[in-house]
Amino acid sequence: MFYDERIELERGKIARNGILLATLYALLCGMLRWMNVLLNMDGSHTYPKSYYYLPVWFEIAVAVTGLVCLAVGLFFSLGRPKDERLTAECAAYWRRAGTLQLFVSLAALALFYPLSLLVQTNINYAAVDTMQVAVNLFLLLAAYVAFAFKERDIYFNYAALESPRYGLAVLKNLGKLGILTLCGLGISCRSTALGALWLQHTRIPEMLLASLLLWLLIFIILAITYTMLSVLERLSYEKRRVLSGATFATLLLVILLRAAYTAVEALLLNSGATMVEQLIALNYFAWLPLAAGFWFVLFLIYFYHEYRETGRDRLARVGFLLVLGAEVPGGALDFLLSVFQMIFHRSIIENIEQNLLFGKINGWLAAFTYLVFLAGFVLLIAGPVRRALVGKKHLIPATLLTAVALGVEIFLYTQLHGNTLLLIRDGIALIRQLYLALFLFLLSRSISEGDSAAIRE
Amino acid sequence: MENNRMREARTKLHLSQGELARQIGVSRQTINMIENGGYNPTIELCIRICRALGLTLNDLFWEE
Repeated sequence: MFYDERIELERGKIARNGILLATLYALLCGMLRWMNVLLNMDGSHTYPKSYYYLPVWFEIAVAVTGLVCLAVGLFFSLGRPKDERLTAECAAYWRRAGTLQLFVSLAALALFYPLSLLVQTNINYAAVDTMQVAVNLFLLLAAYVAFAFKERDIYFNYAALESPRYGLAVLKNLGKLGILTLCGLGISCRSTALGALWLQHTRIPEMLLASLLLWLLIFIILAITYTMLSVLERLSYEKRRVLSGATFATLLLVILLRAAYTAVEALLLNSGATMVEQLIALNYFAWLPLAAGFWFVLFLIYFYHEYRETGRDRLARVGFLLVLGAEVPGGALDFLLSVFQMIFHRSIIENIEQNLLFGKINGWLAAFTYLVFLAGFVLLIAGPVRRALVGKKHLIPATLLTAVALGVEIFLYTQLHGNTLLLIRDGIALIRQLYLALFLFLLSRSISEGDSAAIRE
Repeated sequence: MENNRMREARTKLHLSQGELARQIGVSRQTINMIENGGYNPTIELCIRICRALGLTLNDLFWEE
């Protein structure tokens, strides 16, 4: 019987940190979105009281569950001697609490998504959709779990990693995920019917379609994330180079997904639709850059750990962490800012000065995360170059390209505004990911060649 | 602190870390971390290791 106490302890710690992360995120997002509802409600109409809090019930459910779990966990060990048995019991508690919060989050999303969508369309205010909030939360947690697992040298698919039927085990888990999302869809359909009675609406076909789309997207995103994680775990466990040709091709696909979103954005911006219509339409595709960004981060996490295991340059490892920091927290900050911006949506449209102010805030935040990325990238390539792992031929064009891109971006922020700026910024982010991926691929090849030469000697 | 006695006992029996891990029901990484001093096993796991290697707690885990 497989029971590894070390893995169970580490999973407990990771679950505890995950609960904390999810709770903080839900509290912050919930507050910002609730303010959005209050400040954007059209004052000329009287709405039912339920309209004022329905849109944030997902965040309330996640936050309340998290706070209760954290409070119980805090008092769990009070007054008891701190020994091996208590440590094991605490770890078991946190694992169960983490599972509970995950299921409550999914159930809350299923139950409240149709209702929050109805409120949003009834009162016609632009807002960041509950779906985006949920997808952002799940991907943030997935990135943290992937990093934490790899940091502690434990694996998600431990039971099957050494089995020749690893692929089958992964498929079985994907099947379980499918069943879970079908349950979610079932709850959402039920919620739609309840909403028809409670909120007295007749938009049942639209709500059912929206629920179907939500759960299809959630299944696609979680299935792709889990499959990528499974492939990376297997490669990492067998000590093969993570950034091989096949995974590099997948990384390019991830970058292309982000490019697809930029293309959709460009089409919508030129379609003549109103800003509210554009925002509602983009909500359905907003998962593309979010998911693509986090999948890119998964590769970075595994490559960082692979690079660290070779015992290479400490500065390069710091560089990796800075690059990760720009992609993950930077992406999450960007998302929260867009939620914050929605609070003042009406006044932004009417007041050109506020419009410019938010444009500048967006600009400064993007510039800050880009500077963090740039610092990390320079450290990342300086180390290997110094150790002659990668030739100087890679350093000079990579540095020049980075400096030019940064200069162009700063110039554009001072000269351009509005929609054109959004497109240019997304384009630069794509280029940034592309040359980072290319550099990592070349570095991986160099490390492989270096290892082969050492073995031959 | 590294546990060289455990490593020696394992290699005497011609067991790899993975084989020992499978016998005991833990991961290869955990055996590796115990041998390299990166993880302190509980008494229960120590006993399982001792049974698998046919030695006593004193032989493998007592600090001299």
